[in-house]
Amino acid sequence: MELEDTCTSMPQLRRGGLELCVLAILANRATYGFDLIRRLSEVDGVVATEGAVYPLLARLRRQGRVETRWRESQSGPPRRYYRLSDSGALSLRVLKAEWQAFRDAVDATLAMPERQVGR
Amino acid sequence: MTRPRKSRVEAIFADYLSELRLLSAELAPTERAELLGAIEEHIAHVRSSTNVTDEAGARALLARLGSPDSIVDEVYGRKTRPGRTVDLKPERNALLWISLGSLLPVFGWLRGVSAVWESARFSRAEKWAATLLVPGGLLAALAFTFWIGAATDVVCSSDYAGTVGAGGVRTVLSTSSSCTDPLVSPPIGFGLAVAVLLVAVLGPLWVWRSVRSRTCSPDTPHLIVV
Repeated sequence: MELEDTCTSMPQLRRGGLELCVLAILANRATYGFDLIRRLSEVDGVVATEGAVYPLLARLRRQGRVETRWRESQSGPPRRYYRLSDSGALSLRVLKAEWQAFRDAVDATLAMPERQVGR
Repeated sequence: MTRPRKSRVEAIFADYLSELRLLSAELAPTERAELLGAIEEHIAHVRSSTNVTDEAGARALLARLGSPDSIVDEVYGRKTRPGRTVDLKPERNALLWISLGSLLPVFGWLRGVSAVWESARFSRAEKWAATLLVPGGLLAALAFTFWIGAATDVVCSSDYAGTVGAGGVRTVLSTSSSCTDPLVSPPIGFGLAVAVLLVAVLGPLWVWRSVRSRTCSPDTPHLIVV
């Protein structure tokens, strides 16, 4: 029972983290989907399944947090490039601050002695 | 040697994209087109850059990508889509037509086979299995079983020539009898008949379990309607 709950919690935690990572990468430069996944995959544990990134990009685009533009490719069909919009940049700043505060809070809680946590 | 392997790889990707198309049918058309386009582009990109030529490579690529269902779930941003049901009645009926439909000779079985091939939920292997496993279904298997049973008996016939006299006393002048050997020996015939019957019953059951378990794997919680 507890293991099952853990299994459903981790993807949710990862989903929140993935959104933040995507926004952070797109803040640096415009990139296309496959390249974005390649960069995310350079850090273990960020992407559980590569296919999850495309629905996320589509959702961010619908929300106006990323903008897209088609560009010709030298090695195939045109590619859809994603870049952060102004709204996305604001969203990134807010999420980053919240994430850091949340991460610190979780780390502090995990560092507590067991007796103190159970109180 | 290379060609069949390549076509199998193509079939793996085609099945995956076909399932993704099916599962994403409930999305808005533009949203769906964007998702399908992105996934197809991703697959094409990985294939061209890593030269995926065998089944293991194709399956590894798709495993990294995630199941079609998990991708569609991501569109909703949560694990389970609310109120989602999967209606497997057409698939169940198709298999029933194949197994029992031969009560309506030819038509019933043909209807089942056409329904199986129309359904996108069956994999290619399941479609072929449903088509080739005892064509005609259970009735054909029973007919075959009776025929085998009859053919494993020694069949004898006799002719006589004579007269029937007063009081019904028959005078036999000559008798000839002939016996036909069985097509197969009784133990083999019995085994063959049992095997055909089992295949006729278990074959559609196996296909049903296969399509049902894929639709209801632990990664893809659904309410299944049958």
